[in-house]
Amino acid sequence: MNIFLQATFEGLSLGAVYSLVAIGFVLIFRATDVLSFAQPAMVVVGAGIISYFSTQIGIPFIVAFFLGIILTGVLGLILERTFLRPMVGEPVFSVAVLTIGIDILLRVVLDNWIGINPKYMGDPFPSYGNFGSFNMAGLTVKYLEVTALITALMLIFVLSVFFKKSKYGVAMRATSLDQEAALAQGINVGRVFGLVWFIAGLLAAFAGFFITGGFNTLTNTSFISALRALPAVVIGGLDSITGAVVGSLIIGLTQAYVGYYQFDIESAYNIKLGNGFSIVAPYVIMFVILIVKPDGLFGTEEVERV
Amino acid sequence: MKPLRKQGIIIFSILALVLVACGGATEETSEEEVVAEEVTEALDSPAVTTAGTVKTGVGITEEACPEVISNIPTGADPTKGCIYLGMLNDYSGPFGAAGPALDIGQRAFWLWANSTGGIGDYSVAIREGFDASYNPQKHLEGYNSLKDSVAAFSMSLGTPQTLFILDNLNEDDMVAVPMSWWSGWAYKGVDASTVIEFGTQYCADGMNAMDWASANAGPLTGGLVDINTVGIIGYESDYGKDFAFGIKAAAANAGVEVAWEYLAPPTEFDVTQAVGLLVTKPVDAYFLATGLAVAPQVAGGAAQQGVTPFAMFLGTSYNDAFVAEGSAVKGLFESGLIYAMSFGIAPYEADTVGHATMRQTLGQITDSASTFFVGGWGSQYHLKGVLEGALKGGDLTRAGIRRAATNVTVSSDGMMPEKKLGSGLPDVASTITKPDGSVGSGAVVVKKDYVGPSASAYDWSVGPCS
Repeated sequence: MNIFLQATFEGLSLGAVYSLVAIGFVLIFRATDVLSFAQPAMVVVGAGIISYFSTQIGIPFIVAFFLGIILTGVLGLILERTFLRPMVGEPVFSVAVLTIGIDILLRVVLDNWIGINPKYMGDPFPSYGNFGSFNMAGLTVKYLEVTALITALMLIFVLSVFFKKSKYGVAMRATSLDQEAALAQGINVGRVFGLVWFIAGLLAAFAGFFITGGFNTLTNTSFISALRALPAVVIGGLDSITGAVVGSLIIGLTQAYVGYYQFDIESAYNIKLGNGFSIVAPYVIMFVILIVKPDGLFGTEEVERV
Repeated sequence: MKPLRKQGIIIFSILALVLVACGGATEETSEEEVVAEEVTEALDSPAVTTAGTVKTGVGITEEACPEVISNIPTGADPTKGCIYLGMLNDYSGPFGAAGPALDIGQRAFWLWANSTGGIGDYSVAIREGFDASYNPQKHLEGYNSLKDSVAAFSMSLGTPQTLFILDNLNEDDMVAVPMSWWSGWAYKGVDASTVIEFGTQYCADGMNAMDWASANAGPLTGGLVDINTVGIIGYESDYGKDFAFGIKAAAANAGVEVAWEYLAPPTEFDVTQAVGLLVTKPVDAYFLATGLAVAPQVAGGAAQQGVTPFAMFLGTSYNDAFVAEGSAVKGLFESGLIYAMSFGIAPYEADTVGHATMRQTLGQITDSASTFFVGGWGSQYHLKGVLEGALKGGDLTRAGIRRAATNVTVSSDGMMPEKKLGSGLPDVASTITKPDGSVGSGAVVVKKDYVGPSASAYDWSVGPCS
């Protein structure tokens, strides 16, 4: 039972972090109809900025953390204004390819800075309790993971309030429904696009820290963790924030359960799923869901006249 | 464009291509020096040049080497000729950060070697390194761009990349030093003596890690650890598979049970699963052969759940960053429960004549004690021995150098054990280190040149471990 609870807690924590990346994907998609492949790069750039300020400049971690978050958001804003804005009206496919280019650009610069040695975030979590964890009713709870879970829940709550109550939140929803109608109503759609990239940058930096914090470290392969949010948004539906969260939790839990139970299942049923299956399993689920519901669990069904 | 003109351009292009293709393979020129006496000794003879005639070929000039290449002095004697070497390095890609240190280590070695006599009437210089970005296709491009201007390659980084150019090396009679320690490099049947291996290979490291841990874990932990069951975690790669093979062979010898093995490709490696295994299927010790990215996550993740077994890490899985000030895992790695195999050669501070020479020379260039400087420097010793062997045989052509590589005993001022190349016997002596942030390399030597009972008894003539 303890193992099941342990796997469940770790899966929920993983899923919560993935959901921050996934929400960024969804926000940009809803506003611009483009799946931004630059989002995983934004995740590691956010972590890189935090690490730089914290461990190389030497400013207190908490200041470095918030500075990193803000700067990554600003970076998102700059990317939108410089690369994406001139592409308004161009085919969606072209813009998506452009985001791949941005992804490569950001990661090349970051990888050169990272070098061969893993970079630490300079966070205090590993020094708390037993190597950064404490025991609760036989369950090992990691400070970093529990913080990730709480932070993700808070951010999701704040975002949902923002979308419902704030002027810009409503403007973003309107823009996502119909850009031309939003323009006709006096909404500054360009500003909304910028705001979307800014928020996606903030979320990416939060996720970046939780992916690379503690023992995890930032390396030139860290972006692969952020990439796992991609099946999450496909499972949940590309245009649904609820779907992004649910999809992320499905991915996180699947990864954790397979990680903890794969060897037992293989022994019990005398089968061999192969090492690394826990990473592949979310994609298997994605394929199954796509067959049953091509628009994802919470995605809007679209019928196009051909 | 008029059809006739178009045809002319096409014909011209084809002719140009044919000419380029035909002219690609530069003929080896032979220059003779003063003829004094006949060759009477084998290549593997005492250190005197017995051949009076020294044939030279591609990549060797009678003009002196440049004074400086890549901003590092070559130390070349202006009155001597020059033996040029090529370098297939990574300055970008996953090992891009290691490239400059490997580059400097090799150039520093030849700076020292040239200053102390060079190779007969020649100094040695490495041409500007080619950035292969850990990409086999780019590796081949680099090889093709350099092969007609060098006598040998001072480095070919990576096992898959070197395997990719193996046929080309064979066809061109070219030798290269691999910057990898795959168990296959010791066998003529694999590389046709075109690859001049150096340092302890991963498979023997696996055997020695298991044997050393079995014998020493108890005393080192005050009797707390008695190794009866072990787990293996690693990448499904040349080093992961080699290391795992060695551990399993030694475990079978020692009557130790390998409870589980988790080898996954680097892109599919799941830290959660590795930690899950350590937690749910406890073992007395585990052996890890991954890259640097996941090693602290696995050790740290298990420690967070209260699981801190005795552990031995392959050299690829450990570096000084883990025990540097501010590292999240410093305490864990310095706890005395984790040990690391060296990266092919004993670390920077090791007490050998070769290490002292390296420190003295490199100290003029850098203040870093990086493992990659050691790898770069140490990798050139055997190549130097091969060039000296070829000189003794009076044949510094590529064929002569290759012939020397099949039958010459090389030494390295104590950095590595003396070795007879082409014997089919790999280097099996390992250096075992303990993580320690108080030294530059982040590791102090616990045991150098350790050969456990399994590596001693293993029949190495059967071929590569993986």
